[in-house]
Amino acid sequence: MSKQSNLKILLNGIIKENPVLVLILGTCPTLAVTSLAVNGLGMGLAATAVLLGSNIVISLLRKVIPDKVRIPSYIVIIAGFVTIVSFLLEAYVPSLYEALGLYLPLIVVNCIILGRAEMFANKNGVVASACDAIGMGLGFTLALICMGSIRELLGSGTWFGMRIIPESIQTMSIMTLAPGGFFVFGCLIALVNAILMRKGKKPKQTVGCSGCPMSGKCTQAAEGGCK
Amino acid sequence: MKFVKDFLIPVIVLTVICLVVSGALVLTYQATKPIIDEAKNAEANAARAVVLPGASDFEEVELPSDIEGAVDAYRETNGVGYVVTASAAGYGGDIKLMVGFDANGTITGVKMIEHQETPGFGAKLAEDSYGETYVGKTASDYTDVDGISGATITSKAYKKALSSAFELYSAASGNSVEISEVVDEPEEELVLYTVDDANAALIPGGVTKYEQEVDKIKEVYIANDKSALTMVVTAQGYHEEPLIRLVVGMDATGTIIGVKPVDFAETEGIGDRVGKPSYLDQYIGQTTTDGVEALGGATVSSNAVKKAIDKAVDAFELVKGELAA
Repeated sequence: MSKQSNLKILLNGIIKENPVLVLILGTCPTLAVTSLAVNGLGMGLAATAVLLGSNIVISLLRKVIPDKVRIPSYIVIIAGFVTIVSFLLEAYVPSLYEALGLYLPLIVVNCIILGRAEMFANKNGVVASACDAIGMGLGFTLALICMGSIRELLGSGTWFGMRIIPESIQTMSIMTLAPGGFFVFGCLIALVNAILMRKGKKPKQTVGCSGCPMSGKCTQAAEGGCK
Repeated sequence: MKFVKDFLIPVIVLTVICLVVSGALVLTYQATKPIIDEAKNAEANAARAVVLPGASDFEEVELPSDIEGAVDAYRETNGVGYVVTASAAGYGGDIKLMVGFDANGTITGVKMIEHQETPGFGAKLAEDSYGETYVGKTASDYTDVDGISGATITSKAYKKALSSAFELYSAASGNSVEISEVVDEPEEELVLYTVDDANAALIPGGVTKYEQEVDKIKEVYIANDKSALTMVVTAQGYHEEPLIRLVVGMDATGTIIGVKPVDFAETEGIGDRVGKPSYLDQYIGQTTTDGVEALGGATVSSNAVKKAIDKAVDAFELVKGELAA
């Protein structure tokens, strides 16, 4: 993997291995915060900042951290970055801090971040890890903005707070609720799959064991999955 | 060596990571705390300024501990007035009111900042439009503001919290004020009648049962002096069973002289308000049911009552010949 050019690693995260729409990671914050495009942007950028920090630090420490304690070490590092980001948001962007609410501390358990630490940062150098973090973070952010834009436009008739659909037209308020999140999520996954297929790159059919962050260490993986 | 590699190094590494991360957190916390505090303070000041127009900055006032429902009290630093918060037990839990007073103790604004009251009933008092009805009131006349019907308990709690707020104002400002007591209005009860009792209440002179069924109404009673009659009518209320049963009394001109409930098993506190005298007595003096509006929140029960009385009004045309004009 280390032979890939850094640019390719960066671009990988945006479409081909988009964490949300192809790897289907981080679904919970994706569905929860995207009722408004601006929340999607905020969540995406916050997660990107955490991902960038944790990927760099974990990649730097990849030779120092013993295998036995790597998961707790990663969690401590990630939690540290999340707390720092939430302090900074609370101080400088309180409105976004309010809007993200519970989902901000939950970035700690966002699979994308731990997943990239396991799958990429602990096997690659600092620069490659940083590129991977930026790519994945942008992929996450773009997916969230996409979902947020569609849901906000259809559900509230606005886009980033600007009114697009005249108020006289009844909006579909279901789009701002959880079911609308699932509708848009499903449609976007289908769209990305269609794009990848047209390009002749078959998307991953199953997530399976190879998609699992633990697959490298898991003894069951070779035997065809968990039992 | 195995011990060191398998046990000691992981522990040391994890401990060091934890320490470094904690250190970074401490630094960030120290750096951002003043900004966060300032923002929170500004937000709290802005919230307080909602109930005290013209206010800019506040300082907290130490309070004696014996005031019931006291939460906090703030003095506007330029002497514009005071903002106090008081709580009282509502229907679903404590309600918390933030109340602004000018320097003379007149209410400048009331805002309910916390409640768990029933939506559509008690929660109506949390709307700003209700709080505005108290603006300009003082400790002596705040009890004159009407509560909201259907939300008796919340309305009472609201006044109780206001009474605590006046106490807080008095303690914070040093101006002693006479706070008028919140009087408990007796809760109106749903009184059910037997058919005989209802007849006696409506036509004191005594009645005789009419021997025929009139327009499917089985029980019709004619006054002994033939000046009036009563009919026992039913309709389906909010529940399928039992039916609402009413005794409707009418005089010789077809004017309703009274409606008494016999069976009235509507939801307590909601539909059963329709069976109470304050609602049913609105029909007295009417010849049709058009003039009486449904009770908010109890539309089904109100309409059932209307339907039952309609039956009596229709049937009256068929039996009015029995009465002495």
